[in-house]
Amino acid sequence: MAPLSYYFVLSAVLFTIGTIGVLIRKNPLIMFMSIELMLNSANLSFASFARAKNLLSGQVIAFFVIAVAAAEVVVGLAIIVSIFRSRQSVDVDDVSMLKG
Amino acid sequence: MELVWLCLLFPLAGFAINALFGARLPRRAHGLLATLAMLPGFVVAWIVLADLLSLPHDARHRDLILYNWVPVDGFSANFGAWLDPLSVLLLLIVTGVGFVIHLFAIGYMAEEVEGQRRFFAYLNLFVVAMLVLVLADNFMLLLVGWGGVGFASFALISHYFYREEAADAAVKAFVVNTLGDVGMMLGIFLMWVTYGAVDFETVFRNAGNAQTGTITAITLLLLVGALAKSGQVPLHTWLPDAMAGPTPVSALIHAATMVTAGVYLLARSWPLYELAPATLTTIAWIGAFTAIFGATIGLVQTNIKRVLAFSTMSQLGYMFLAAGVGAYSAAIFHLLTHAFFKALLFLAAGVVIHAIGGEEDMRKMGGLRDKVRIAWIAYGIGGLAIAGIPPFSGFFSKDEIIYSAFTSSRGNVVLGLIALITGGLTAFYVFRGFFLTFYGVPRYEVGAGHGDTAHGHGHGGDGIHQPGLEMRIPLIVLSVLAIVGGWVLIPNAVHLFEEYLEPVFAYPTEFNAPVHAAGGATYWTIAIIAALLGVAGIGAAYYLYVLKPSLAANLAQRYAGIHRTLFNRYYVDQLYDSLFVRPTQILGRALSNGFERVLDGAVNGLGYLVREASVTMREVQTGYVRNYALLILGGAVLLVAYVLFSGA
Repeated sequence: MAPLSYYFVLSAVLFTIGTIGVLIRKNPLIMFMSIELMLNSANLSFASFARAKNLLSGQVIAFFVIAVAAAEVVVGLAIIVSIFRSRQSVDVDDVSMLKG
Repeated sequence: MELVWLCLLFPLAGFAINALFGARLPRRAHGLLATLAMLPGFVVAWIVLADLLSLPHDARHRDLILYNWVPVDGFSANFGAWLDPLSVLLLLIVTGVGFVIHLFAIGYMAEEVEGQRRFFAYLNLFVVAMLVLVLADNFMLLLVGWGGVGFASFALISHYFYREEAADAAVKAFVVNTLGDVGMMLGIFLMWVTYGAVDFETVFRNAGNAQTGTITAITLLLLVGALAKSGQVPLHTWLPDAMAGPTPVSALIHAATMVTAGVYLLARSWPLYELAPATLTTIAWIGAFTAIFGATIGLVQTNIKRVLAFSTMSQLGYMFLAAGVGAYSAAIFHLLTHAFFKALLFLAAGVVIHAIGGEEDMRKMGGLRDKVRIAWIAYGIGGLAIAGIPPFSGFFSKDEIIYSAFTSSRGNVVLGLIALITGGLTAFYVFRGFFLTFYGVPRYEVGAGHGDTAHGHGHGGDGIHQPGLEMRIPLIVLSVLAIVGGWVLIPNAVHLFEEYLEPVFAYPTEFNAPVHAAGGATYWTIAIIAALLGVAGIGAAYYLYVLKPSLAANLAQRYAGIHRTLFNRYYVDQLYDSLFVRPTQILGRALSNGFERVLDGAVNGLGYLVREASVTMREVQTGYVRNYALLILGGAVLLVAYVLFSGA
């Protein structure tokens, strides 16, 4: 098995890519994909630690994260669909009615 | 005797019904309801009197306790009625005179479209408060009644609140009376500290257990309350102004009952006053001074009700004088007869005012003798009574006081002479009013009318409003009482009144007020001189205002300085105005300006701060999801940095 730090570097790179994706893209679908990237980078860290320390709880949490991510995507997609229906657009910058 | 609570209950019910459900009743019903509410109390008062008289002479006092009102550890005040000849006499006066004046008010107020309900509700409330005052068995409950009548008086003076003069007068009355209330309250506090109780029984029984200085302080503080309530110098200024209220109010509150509360207080607390000779001397001199002070002002007033107001002041001065020289029963006797003849004079004046459509200035009356004959007769009887002409009631009661002022161990010749001279002046100014109103050339205007053809009293062809039956009956009743009311105490002949009150002023027995066995040559000499002075006063008034009307005007012109001083009531109002009212206003305005800047500055500054802060902060809410995400990221990074670098 490769050294543990490799996994973390990969995890950090994936997380950064995901974060930048969320921050700079306007298409919500791409943003969701970026969020998935961030979540899975965290999953990678959990799994790596679990493997290295011989603990099961890290693996379990990774499953939980996958389940929560699935649920979140369901809700998020539903919101995107209803926004699209009302405004014929899915650009997140168009949805700014709560501007103070 | 327990029936006495009904006296309170019925007027209270009348007040409650008029106040709560009055809006649904027809206009005429308010007065009728209020008047009917007075009747049971009057009947019950006689029953209570009969019960009281059935007791043995020396045991005629009962303390009926309804419930323990203030059950505090170390202090107790009951809601109780103190029944003795004095309180029952006052009970009879309040309910009896109250009833006839309520009856009169039905006619007097009949043309008022609005405000009748308010008027009669407050009139009933006044009676309740006055009865609480009279019946209370401790000083604290007495103070409740004391404050209650003050409030009712305020409410009724300001009955025509849309007139600035009435509103001002009401405020003035309330402020001056509150001043007195504060003095009285302090007196009661001091009493509690001294005796550990405020009920009559304990306080009077232990009266002698305190230092003379302390007793003097208590009695002087109580006296402040009495002076304010009874319109005595120097707290008299509110009483003449109070005439801005409707005439029945002037008759009931500012002549017959409320203003005599001060005299009642002095007579009631006599065991304390007897132990404070300095206070008694003060009372006697204040009374004598007020008597002649009010009488001299009354000489030149032109408003028919104001003349009577100053006369009330002056007569109350007599009562204070009597109390001050220790002749409490003489004071109460004059209180009784005064209630009759002064109420009568006011009601007669009310009939005149009503007859010519609301005019109160005597310079605009004249020649009304044959127009309102009943008012002429009533005013004449009242005038003869107050002037002390035998056999009218005032003769007996006033001479009792003059005699006491001369002969009491506390009186002296100066007090007696003041009382005598005041008697002559009284006869003059009352009959000046009488002749100006009823004799001479008519100077009034009628025909203003009130456009209401369905108001139950007849109009002659001359536009004079004739009083209806409900106004005539009270005049007749009070006229009879003003004549015969004094016959209960005729020296050397009838001693009913003195015997009746004797148990009051002999309890507790260790202090005996100088009860005057008036009579004998001295008494009758003084009485004859007083009566002759009265006749002289009337004669002078007749000469000046009927035979030679021009002479009166000439005199007023020749002594213009005196005339102006008297007409302006010795400038006391102006003095108080510049001494107290104006400085207070200036101070208030200055403080209000200063405080406004500080307080408003603080409040407005806070508001400004919040507004500006939110204007700045709202910029954060851009509405762009990615902006929020960036902020969340920043926050997360900061948190992680904190966890990493804080060394935890």
